[in-house]
Amino acid sequence: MPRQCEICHEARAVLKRPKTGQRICQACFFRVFETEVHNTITSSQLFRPGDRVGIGASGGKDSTVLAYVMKLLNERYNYGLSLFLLSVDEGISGYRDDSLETVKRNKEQYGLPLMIVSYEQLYGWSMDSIVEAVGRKNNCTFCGVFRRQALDRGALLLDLDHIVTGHNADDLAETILMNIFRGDIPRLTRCTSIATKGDGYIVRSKPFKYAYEKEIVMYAYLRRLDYFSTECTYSPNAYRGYARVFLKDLEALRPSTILDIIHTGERLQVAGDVVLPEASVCEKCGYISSNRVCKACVLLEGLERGLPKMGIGRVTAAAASAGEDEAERQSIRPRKPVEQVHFAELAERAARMRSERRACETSSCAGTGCAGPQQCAGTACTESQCTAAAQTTTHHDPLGK
Amino acid sequence: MSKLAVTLRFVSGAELLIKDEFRAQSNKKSGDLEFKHEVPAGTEEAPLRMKELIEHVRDNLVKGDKDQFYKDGKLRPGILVIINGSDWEVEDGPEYKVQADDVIEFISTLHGG
Amino acid sequence: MCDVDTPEHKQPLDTRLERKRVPGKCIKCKTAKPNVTIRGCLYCKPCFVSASIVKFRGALKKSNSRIDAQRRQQNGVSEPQRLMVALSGGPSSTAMLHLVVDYQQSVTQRSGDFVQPPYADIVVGHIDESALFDVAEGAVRSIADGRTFCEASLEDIFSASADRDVLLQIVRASMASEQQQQNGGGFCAQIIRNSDNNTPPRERLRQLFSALDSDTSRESLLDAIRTFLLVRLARAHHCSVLLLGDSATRIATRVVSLTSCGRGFSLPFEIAPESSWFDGVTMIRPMRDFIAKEVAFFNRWAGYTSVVVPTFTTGAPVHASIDRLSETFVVGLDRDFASTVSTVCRTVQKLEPRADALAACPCIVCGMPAEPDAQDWRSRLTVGQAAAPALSSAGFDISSHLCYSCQNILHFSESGDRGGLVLPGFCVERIRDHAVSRPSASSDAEQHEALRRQVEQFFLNSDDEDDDCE
Repeated sequence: MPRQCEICHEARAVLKRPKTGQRICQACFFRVFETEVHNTITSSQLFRPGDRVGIGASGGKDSTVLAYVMKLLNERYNYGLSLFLLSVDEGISGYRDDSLETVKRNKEQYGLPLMIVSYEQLYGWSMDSIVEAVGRKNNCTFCGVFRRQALDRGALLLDLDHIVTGHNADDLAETILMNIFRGDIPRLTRCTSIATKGDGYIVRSKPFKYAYEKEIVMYAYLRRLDYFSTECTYSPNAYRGYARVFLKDLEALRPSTILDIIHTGERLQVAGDVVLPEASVCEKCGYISSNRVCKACVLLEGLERGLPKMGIGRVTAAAASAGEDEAERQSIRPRKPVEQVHFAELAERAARMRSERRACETSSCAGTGCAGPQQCAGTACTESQCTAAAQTTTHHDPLGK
Repeated sequence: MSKLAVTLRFVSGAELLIKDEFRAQSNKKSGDLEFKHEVPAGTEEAPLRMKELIEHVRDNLVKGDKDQFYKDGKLRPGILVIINGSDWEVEDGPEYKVQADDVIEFISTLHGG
Repeated sequence: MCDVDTPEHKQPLDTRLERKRVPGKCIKCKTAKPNVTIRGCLYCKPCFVSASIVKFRGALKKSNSRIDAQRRQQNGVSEPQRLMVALSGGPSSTAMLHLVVDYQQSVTQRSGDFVQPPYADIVVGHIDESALFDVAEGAVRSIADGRTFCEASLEDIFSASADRDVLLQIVRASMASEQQQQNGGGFCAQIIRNSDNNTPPRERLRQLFSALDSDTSRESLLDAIRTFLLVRLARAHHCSVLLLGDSATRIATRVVSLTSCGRGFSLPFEIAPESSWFDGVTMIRPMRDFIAKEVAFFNRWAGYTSVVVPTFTTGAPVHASIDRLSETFVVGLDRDFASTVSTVCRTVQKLEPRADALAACPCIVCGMPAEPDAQDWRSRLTVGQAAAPALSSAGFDISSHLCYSCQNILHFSESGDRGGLVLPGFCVERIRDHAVSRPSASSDAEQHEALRRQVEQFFLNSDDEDDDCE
């Protein structure tokens, strides 16, 4: 006899829920999964009506499900958000170019505007060319540092209030464990907060903070969502790998453990006399930084000067150049330097766009062929405004056409 | 192949990993395990090192789940080795060349046995 | 997922020692051939033993002076205290006992004149776990070497002494449910009389442990009972200080396993160098700077014999429980990334109890602070648990008396076919303490009052308790 769903006691159970071990039907799974994300969003008061929210979209399972669920919840519960897909093209052939095709399909499937910002255009270096220069050892450092900034730059180009990313409960539990192992107290207490404002301009949050990776995969599968599932072709982080294996073993022992670790992480508090680094602004690009010059600028300078070890770990410019073989230095072709736009200027442009958009909303757009404020928010009207802004800075069409 | 006689000691929980037939050879009254044991001596070009001795112990003396003693080509973390009263890491660790009459101790520091 | 929050693994360098190092010689005397290497430093046997003694005393004195300062603030004076050494018989607690006795003697013997010893007396406290595990009779007592040996047995929690004549039977233990508000909480229990039943305490204890779902739960509960008994033993022998033998390796392991079990709220108390969470008994962990390897070599060279203390997972595969897995992981990580253990220990010393944890009521199972909104947190994030059946008249809601982690233990055990856990009388006492001493917020005052009446009717007969109740 087929088992009944343990929640509705009506339909036939089709899956065992990883988070709780309950056998439940498909409809109940969709409902509880979506409701939990909704609860996360409302209990943390992530958004205000009218917010322009960018979904960090990589084409992978997490961000694809996030885009789907954000759109669904926005309509179901009338959040009143304008949603955008925001993608970063790191320039990794055989990986990112393919996954971006997925994002472009998602754009059509979900009817959401898409902006792609690329490392090549922002920094003058694609990941492929960086790997060519630095080898495979530290390339993840470059990628991580550059991605963070790239998302913020993209968000300012679109004048967003908020970026949501697909980080899930497994990622967070791993991060908590890693920060304990490494003794990184500032990050340990910071990493659990659902939203961070630390990066200066745009709030960033993780609505999937409490969603199990397995359930996200299951959700994507059952909803038949279109996502890209290849791992990055460059090496994954070895240290995180330890934490990941450990977490999987823990989860096998007690499924609630992922949530339990997050619960622990949220309850840890640092003693008052531990000094946390104070944030200031990079004097070169205006990005938030605890040092005089931000990590991205240091890494970029190292690349431009042919000293790719600069900024990795605690290697300074002097140490990097002392350690480098002269021949090796010359083997790295200096690229055509790209002038980075200062963050203050980006923010100013965003503010200008905002006031123009406001004006547009109040003085009826009927005459200009714009269909109304909703469409205004990033699609039709932006052709003349943010596209222009984006083109001067990145030579790139923000709508990904 | 010639043999090399050494004294093996398993203490602090490491003795729980050893087959009963060897435990019966122990000359200690307490739970500690100590006995003389002959191991293949190796050759002149390839003398017996600790690495091989540990593999010999794993294959011949350890009972049940061998992972409890040796995993992924290494002695399990948490099991200490003392050669003639000194930490084997002060010597050459797994590369140490075993001598006749060496006293080799395995100490478990693992709480979970 | 690769992300920016991932700096390279930091390799701490002890440059101070590095500079003075003589290649191939002991780092301290710089003449002898080394016998052991600890965190990359070489020591000869005598230097290692004396350095261990210095290190132990340093940690102990540091803790003592912090406690003294606290005590002076409260009482104006600080007298030498009676000290209990918790001795499991394992390597770390064995070394600790010898080290503290040696410290006491060295202070008093230093001069011919009378010198006030650091402690009024040193007694040994041991919890007999033979009800659950095979242990060699008398082995631990012989380690105590003639010192006053105070012992309690695990099954004592079920012995029906006059004031402990009750048990707590779990009627329902289900985590959050959507309809929970209408039906009362997900965790309900009723108080039953111990004397109604003729099951011997040892049997009851075994029943309790076999009713749990996993070795993870069993380890957690054993920890809780052991702590309860040790604190009670210390109080009974008028010891205001209790030394616990957690080594750095053990502390790092516990940090990971407590984290994984959701014990963040109470974690700072459970691994602290000093903790005064339990009234009247301050716990100190003076072995906190010793890694397991140091303990093993110290005992080996000082000639101290310890015993193997069995656990639920002795001889089991490394995946047997969260604690076991954590130990395997931490010890392995420490081999591959030097100093992981000391890094973790240093990290957690910077954590402090939250203000709401200091003010929280103790969990009735583990005695550690129970956060009031643990169940709300969970119910938001695990929607759609089966609706709890309506509350029977016999039971009352204990949700707010359980910490997040002990809710897990009860939930997982009850969701199997075992059911009907019977918890010891100390759980009831903790509920009573809670009900009597802490008037609750007005919103659930009615419910609170009902609980108080329920709990107290079981105590009205025991004569000397009446005063406390009203």
